[in-house]
Amino acid sequence: MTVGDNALSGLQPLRETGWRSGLSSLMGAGFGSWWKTNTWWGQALLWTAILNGSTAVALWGEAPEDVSVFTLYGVMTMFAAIAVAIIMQEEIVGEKRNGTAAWVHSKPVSRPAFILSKLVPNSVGILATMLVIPSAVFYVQMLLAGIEVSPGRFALGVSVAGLNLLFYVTLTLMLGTLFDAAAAVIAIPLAFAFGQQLVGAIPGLSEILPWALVVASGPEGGSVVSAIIAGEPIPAPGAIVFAIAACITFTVVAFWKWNRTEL
Amino acid sequence: MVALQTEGLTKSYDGVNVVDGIDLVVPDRSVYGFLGPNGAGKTTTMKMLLGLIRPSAGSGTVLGMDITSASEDVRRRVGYLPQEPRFYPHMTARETLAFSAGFFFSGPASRVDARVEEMLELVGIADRADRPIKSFSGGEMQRLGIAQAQIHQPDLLILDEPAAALDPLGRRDVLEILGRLTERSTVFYSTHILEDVQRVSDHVCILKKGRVVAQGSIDEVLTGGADTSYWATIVGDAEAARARLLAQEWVSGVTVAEGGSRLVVSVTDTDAAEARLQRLLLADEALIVKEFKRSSIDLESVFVDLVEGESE
Repeated sequence: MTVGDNALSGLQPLRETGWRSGLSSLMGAGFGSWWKTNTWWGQALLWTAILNGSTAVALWGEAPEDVSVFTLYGVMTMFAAIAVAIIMQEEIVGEKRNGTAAWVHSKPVSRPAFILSKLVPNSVGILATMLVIPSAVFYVQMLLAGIEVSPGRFALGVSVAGLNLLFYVTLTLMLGTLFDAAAAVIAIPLAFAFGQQLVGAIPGLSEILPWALVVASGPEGGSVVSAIIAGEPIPAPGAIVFAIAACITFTVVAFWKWNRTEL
Repeated sequence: MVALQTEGLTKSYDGVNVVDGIDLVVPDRSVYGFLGPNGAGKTTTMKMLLGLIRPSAGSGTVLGMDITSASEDVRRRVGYLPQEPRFYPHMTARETLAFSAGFFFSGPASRVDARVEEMLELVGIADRADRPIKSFSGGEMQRLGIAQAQIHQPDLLILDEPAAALDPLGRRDVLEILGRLTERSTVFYSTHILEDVQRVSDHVCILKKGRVVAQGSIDEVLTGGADTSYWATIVGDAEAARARLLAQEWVSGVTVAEGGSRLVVSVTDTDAAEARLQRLLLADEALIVKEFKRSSIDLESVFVDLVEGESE
């Protein structure tokens, strides 16, 4: 076998340039790692069992009467947020450590394309399998239980729960670019997730931290998600603004840092 | 033509230069051995050429393109094998090659598949193509590494220790593959296996503590810039033979040794010497040539002299 002059005949050179260099190939691999493997249905099955199992108990079993099914829905999505940190912890750090990031960047791949290929496929995979599919089942559960919910309000509530997940996706991604150890990348989001209960006691903070999106923000209030779905006044609108701003900031920092990282 | 060139290329960490102002000149279509002990700066240099690490000072061009301002264009025409190749473990060898190909070209799936198959056969892992690479041995990983580096038929291959950690048969196979790749590409590779360098390289650079201590064609480095020499064991009139040889313009000196039984001939033109020196000696019917040989200098001894000698 020789490497002939016409070895690449019939093939066209890729024309991706600038920040798009290598993007299509990396995106294909990123989406493939979710949808061409067992990952998607494994996660979907797991989170449907967790979220819809819990809500089924609330709807048809013996659940405390002071806990609304919408509140429970929000709380269960918080568990998904914690799982996000676990799933995402190795995305950047693992590739830095084992050398695959350096290998990929030895190809014509831009730094932004690499970060996008971690951010977009993982966000889509996480939102679809850990939130959208279980939420669709939850909607059917409510219909079966005879609870009327506006589809628009429900979709908005799911979107806010998705914002909470994206907060942890982008936070973990950014930490992956900043640290070389997986321990820091997982510890900080987990500490943040649970620590919000403690710092939430500080006046004002409880109404802007992402915790308020899915978990009750005060003794008498419900979460933003449960309020939206139930058609009640939103208790902590500042949390939505904060989470959006944080997602953008974390993403910008991740791009900035990765652009300067030596591999 | 030059495939790769650097001027004063430097990389510092905390004020310490791990690569210290190196000037490299890698001729087009050469097999260029990049030698040095561990920690000499070989991998760091290669990573700077690929834009994975930013130089602290100096500059470089690969195939005429600047390594910092045109890094992506450089990587479009370069194939790289990392020192300990690691790929995505959930992929098979075939998927890894298709993934690599996706960064360089597109086209009908049958053509891409054919190219992938061609590379699998080139490196001899076609029978393991659909096995997840997490089960690959070091040698198989190395072969896959060479295949992915060559998938787009690059003009320059940068290979970091391509034969390291391989058994003798694996090394032989890898060197054979390298030989085939040079039909079309310049090969710039690092190694610490000096025997391999002398076997397959035509140019060499020896790096020590981030600095170039020797560079040039294998002959130049082996002789340290001095003239090449040959020796002959003879019976007959050594002085007459010496006089005849000195009349050749490409002979720079002749020493008669061992009581007149040995001639040591230094030459300025190796090609002329290879073609004519032995004939000249044999043409003299009064002279019996019992043995004729080019003085061989082992790269290992040159390497040890350069690397250890300068540190004394």
